Amino acid sequence: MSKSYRVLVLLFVLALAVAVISGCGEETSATTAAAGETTTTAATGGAAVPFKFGAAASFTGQYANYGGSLKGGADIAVAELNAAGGVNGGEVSYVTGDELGDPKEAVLVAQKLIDDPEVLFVDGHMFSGATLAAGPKYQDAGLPMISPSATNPDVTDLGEYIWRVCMTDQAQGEGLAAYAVTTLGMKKIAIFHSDNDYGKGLADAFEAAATAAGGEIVGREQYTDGDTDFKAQLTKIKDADPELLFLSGYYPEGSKIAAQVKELGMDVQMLGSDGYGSDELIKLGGASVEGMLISTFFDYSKVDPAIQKFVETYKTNNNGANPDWFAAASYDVIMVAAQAATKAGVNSREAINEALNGIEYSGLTGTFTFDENGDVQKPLNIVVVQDGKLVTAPKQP
Amino acid sequence: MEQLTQQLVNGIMLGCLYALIAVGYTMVYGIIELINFAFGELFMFGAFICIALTSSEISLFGSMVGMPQISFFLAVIVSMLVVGLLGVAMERLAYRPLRNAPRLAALISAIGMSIFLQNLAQSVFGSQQIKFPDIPVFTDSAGMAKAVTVLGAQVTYLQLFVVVVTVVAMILLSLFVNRTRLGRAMRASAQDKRTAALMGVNVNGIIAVTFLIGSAMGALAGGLYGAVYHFARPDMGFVPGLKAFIAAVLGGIGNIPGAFLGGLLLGMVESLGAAYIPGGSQYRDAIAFVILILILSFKPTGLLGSPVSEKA
Repeated sequence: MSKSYRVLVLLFVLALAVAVISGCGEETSATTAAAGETTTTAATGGAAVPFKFGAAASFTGQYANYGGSLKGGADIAVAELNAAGGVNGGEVSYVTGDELGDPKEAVLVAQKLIDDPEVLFVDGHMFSGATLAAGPKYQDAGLPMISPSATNPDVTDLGEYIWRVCMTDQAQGEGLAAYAVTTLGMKKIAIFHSDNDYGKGLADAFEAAATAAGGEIVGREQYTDGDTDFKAQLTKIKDADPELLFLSGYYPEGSKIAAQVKELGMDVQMLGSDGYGSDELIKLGGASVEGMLISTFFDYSKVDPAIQKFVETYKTNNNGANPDWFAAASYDVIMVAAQAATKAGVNSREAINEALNGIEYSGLTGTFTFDENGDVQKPLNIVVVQDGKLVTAPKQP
Repeated sequence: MEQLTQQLVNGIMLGCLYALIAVGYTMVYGIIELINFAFGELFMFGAFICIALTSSEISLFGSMVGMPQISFFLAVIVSMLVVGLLGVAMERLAYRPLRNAPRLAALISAIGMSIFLQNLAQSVFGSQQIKFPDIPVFTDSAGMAKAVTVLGAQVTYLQLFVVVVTVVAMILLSLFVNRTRLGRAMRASAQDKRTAALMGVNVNGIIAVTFLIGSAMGALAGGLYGAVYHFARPDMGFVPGLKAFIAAVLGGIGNIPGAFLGGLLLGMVESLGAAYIPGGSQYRDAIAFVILILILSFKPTGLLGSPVSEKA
């Protein structure tokens, strides 16, 4: 083995190591997934300004399901709005920007959407990390961005053009802590969270509120997205013997965590954050997620005509798959923006942003108004995995 | 105490999986001195083929296709064969034409192969994570993993199976390399291709056999890894591939018992590091790479590696 070759290999491995540790070992998938652009158009037309928006999420890669949900919800909203004659007479359509859930890609997608003068607002981004990276771009350009699901508290602090229709991690963490300690009466609690902005922010809020409510945090561990083996951390948690394990993160890891909790023989009630609220969790986790409680902003099993109509349409469009709360939130984003544009009477970025202030909207994920920060107050729903389905949990907050 | 035994068990399990992948790495490196970076992708294909064969249906190119739903054990063997042949084809197409080119060319070819195979898997199986079907022998009627308790540590039947397979594979491979004619030809080719050829060894054939066996080991590791963690995903081979490379270097690259030892050590260090270093779980991957850098700096031949003689 020649010396120079050894140095070369060392350098290469170092470069790869840096790539992995900084949590972006997806360069290979990024090469194929470059900016998939589609335009959906519909029947109406005419001289009116079209109501066109950008859908920014991860449409390919390992988090493609989230983007699929956003698109599924958006498609229904677009069809309904066009059937009703468009918005201010303008036909409704959208362009997609695929950011793979990656903050670096999100900035590029933001620039692309900003540069398209026809784009009036953005439905997205979905992950807090990506939203925090892309948000300042939208703020500087004056393009309203309404996130269906970015829950990190810092998101709406980015400025007056940044909105969201989901509750913050702070609010959700407090709500879940009260639910765990007061409603369920669990006193010994452990936390296992993703080290991304979302997982960590939610875990912090939960820990503070649970301690304040009289619960005891007996263990707190974290993991990195994309990890597959969680046994080292879970074994430590098992040793602390908690009654409840709060999981804060996304379901691709969540399904594996649940399986490993069972494989380690842990007898603990699992409570998953809203990132777990998808049928995919059950598909991947199988029997091991049975009985898990999950927080969600949209309970598709609820008896409500608007919700059931949405669920039916979604199922028809998506081979019988149930919509998750991301799909419902995406629908609400477009509908609230359409309502704002109608109220303003003009299809423009500035008018929509102006009209979102003080708007009163009633949709699939609840009735809400935006506060001065661009945040909403909403009820928290808890669902439980029962016989392979997400159903309303018997105890609600 | 209970926690320590459990953490040791966790480390051994992880280590066995690393060891299985590392063996393939080490065999290929031993014979042509090429770090086959596409190895993680062979591993990934191993997992996908196992899932495809044991499921009743699977989505290929976006449409559902019926599948034979054969037993897991048979599926692993089929996937070892298929991936072994894939490895031979890879050697023939991407590496053999570059055998006398500068080493960097072959290394880049390997990286290209890795990207190609990963994208191929994405288009065939989709970019989503898919579930590994439960293996009936290892799960109870409710679909939960069967397990036994050893000294307070919980060990699943599947994990025991992985340990047995790893140990048996290591012993068989060592015997094969050290005791058979083919194994001797392999060692001869590794030492000096030209002289081996002069002695009547079909060097190209031997290299193909090495790729066949090495890639089959990768598929075996992939199938077991997928079963243990219940999933497959097109990029699943990336990190385990790197870890296996570290394990191979740690043990002495080109050395089969070394790969086993390296894998086991790496698994242990990672598990114990994550458990007992304060804040260590954040740095599990970093721990592995720090080890690699230390070995390359202080003992580049690895724990069991003999000093590599400079070759022509």
